[in-house]
Amino acid sequence: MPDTQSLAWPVTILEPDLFDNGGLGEKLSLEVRSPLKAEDVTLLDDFDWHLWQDNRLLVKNGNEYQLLAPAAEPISAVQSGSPQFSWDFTSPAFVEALADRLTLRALRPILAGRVTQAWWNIREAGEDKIVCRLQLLHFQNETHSQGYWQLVPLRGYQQEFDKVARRMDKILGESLANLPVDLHFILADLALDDARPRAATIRLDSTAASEVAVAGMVLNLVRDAQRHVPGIIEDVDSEFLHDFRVQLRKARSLVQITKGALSAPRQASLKTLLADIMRPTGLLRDLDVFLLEQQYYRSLLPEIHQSGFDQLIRNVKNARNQACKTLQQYLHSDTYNTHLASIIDLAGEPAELASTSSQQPIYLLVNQLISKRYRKICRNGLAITDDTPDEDVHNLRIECKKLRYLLTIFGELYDAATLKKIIKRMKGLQTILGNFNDYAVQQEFLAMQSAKSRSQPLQMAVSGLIAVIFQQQRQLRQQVCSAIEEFAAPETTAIIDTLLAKETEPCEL
Amino acid sequence: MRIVACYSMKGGVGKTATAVNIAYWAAKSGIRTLLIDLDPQGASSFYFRVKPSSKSWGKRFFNAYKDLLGQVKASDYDNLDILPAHLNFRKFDVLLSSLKKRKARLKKILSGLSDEYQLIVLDCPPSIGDLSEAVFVAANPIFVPVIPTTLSQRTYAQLLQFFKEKKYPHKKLVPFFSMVQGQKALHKKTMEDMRAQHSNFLDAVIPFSVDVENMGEQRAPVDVFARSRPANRAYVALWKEMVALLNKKAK
Repeated sequence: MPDTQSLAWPVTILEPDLFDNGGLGEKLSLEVRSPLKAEDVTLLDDFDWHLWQDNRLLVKNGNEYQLLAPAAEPISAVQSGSPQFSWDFTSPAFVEALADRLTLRALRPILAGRVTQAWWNIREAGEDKIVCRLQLLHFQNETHSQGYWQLVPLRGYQQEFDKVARRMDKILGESLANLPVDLHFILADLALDDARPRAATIRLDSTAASEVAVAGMVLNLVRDAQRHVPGIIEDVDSEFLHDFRVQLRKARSLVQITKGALSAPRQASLKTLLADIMRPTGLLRDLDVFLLEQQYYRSLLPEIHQSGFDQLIRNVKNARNQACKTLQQYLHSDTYNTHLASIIDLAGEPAELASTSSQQPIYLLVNQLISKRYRKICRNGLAITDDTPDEDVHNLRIECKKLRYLLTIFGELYDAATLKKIIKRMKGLQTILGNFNDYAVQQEFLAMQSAKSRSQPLQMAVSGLIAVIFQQQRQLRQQVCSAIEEFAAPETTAIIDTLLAKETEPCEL
Repeated sequence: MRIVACYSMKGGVGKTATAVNIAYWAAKSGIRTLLIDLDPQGASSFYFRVKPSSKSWGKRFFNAYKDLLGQVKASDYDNLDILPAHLNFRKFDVLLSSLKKRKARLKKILSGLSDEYQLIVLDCPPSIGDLSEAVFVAANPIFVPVIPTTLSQRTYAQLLQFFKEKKYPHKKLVPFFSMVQGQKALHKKTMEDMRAQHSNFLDAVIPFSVDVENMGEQRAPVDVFARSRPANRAYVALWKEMVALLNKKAK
């Protein structure tokens, strides 16, 4: 509860005896508050370092885990085994603290080293009273060695604090003020953030020729997809495959919707190759999606069908293991490598600029595409009634996805706040359309699982599930029309027009 | 933020020892605690090795909470700060009598400390005047140490009468037995009589102990130098009852 801030002095060499024997001045002595302790620790985080980005550190020391955050009490737990996901921890405090950031991602070691720390009281001889505190915190591994002495004031003892601080300035050089010296700070000081995995990015020139910009963006998306391949091969978590597929799907969608930007043969080849490379990933993703939702599906079934559901899960897990092996083999295969090399070659080819479309500035092309896509969604969407075939609803979902891809892929061409508003308005509609499609996919998936098995309990459990999911899909269908009406409202049209910087025109129905 | 007081109009009953030890246990439980030594003798400040500023600032005590905060000093223990007594705190009764809304003054000024502290413990001087009445308004509960003797019994009855006359809620008063000598028949009988008469006595009983007396020499709460002794166990039991009461009153 001090009024003043701590002061800190960097130390690269560990010298815990530096201030012994009256080193801090007359009438002031050091007494150990917490003895020197060195621990070999491992820092855990997910692939994207979500905890690090959130200023949190998950530190593992043997089977002891500590979750550190600035200005908060550490959360500690002893945990057996090697927890990979937030739900693997037995401590509810850990599950709660990690779940929101890690979601479906697995924890992996990102750094190891030795942390040395100690605390001393600085006691003044007159009243024999503690007047301030001194901490040493140091991190070391094969490549890094960095730490800090931190002088912590105590309320009401400012003069004594200043006296010690002056003494330390003389010994260690000028202090750094107002720093919360903790492990996170030391690691940031070691430029650990530079090692954080980042998405592949390119800088978009809004006036670049469409062919150049689209090909560059396809190349970038494919390169970013490649970042996830080692995680799929190691089978770390389901999100590696998910992110791999999303980036390739975006690339394929981009090739498709920017018709004319690339030459027709280049466009056709890229489209085919991207589809080829994605095809072997579909089965594993379907199985992953089902397994991720297994608790929910289990909750839909009465007790009588639980044993059949157990059998279904066993079958799906077996199928998943097999699909994972097959995909891993594919990702090591010549076929994959040849396809990938061809995509990279094709996307990296010099621009031909043979057509007017290929020459026009990318912002003009994307403007036209966004405008066209939005109008198409309004037109097709508002034509949907409660009796329209489901097929039309699925097509609308695909149109929305294309618009969303355009907005995110070329987001940097536009005003961020306006873009955010549109994406926010799209989310409601996309969630309904996405869930509507997921229900259809899951019914098909379950029917397939049932057909593959002779187990009667399994078939009964599956029938039960399909019936419930069918009902849920019907209920969701009733929300489609109102969600479209909301999205096609004049407000959205106005925001789209603001985004494209033109006068508002009524939506063409 | 909660404000509690250790009060008795009788001296030498164990107010300061109680205030020091319960403030220590509160802080040790992780509660950000401020002990305010209102007794100009400054015994609780002495126990925590905290000296007041040499400036005579007491006349500003009831003006602004920032003035108070400027005089606060950290103890040697985490979560525990002390507002040390100054000799001129002896003029508080006179000072308060010159102020408007004097009874509510202490409560108002202390409410400004709610961002900093979760618990304020008031160690009160043995008197009954404007300062005591300001304490009766500000604090809840008011812990009253009672030595089980005839004289203390009488003093407690006088306090209850005062509360009745002045219409202070008598439920605020929470008595407990202090400096008890189990071998004395008088102590035993007085305790039985008073418990029969007043149902709100805490169960915990603080024994008469050399360890409590030694706080002066050690200048520390009992737990620091006599951890496994009966007096320390008694203060732990007292704190547990107090915290249960605080939680109950909070609901």
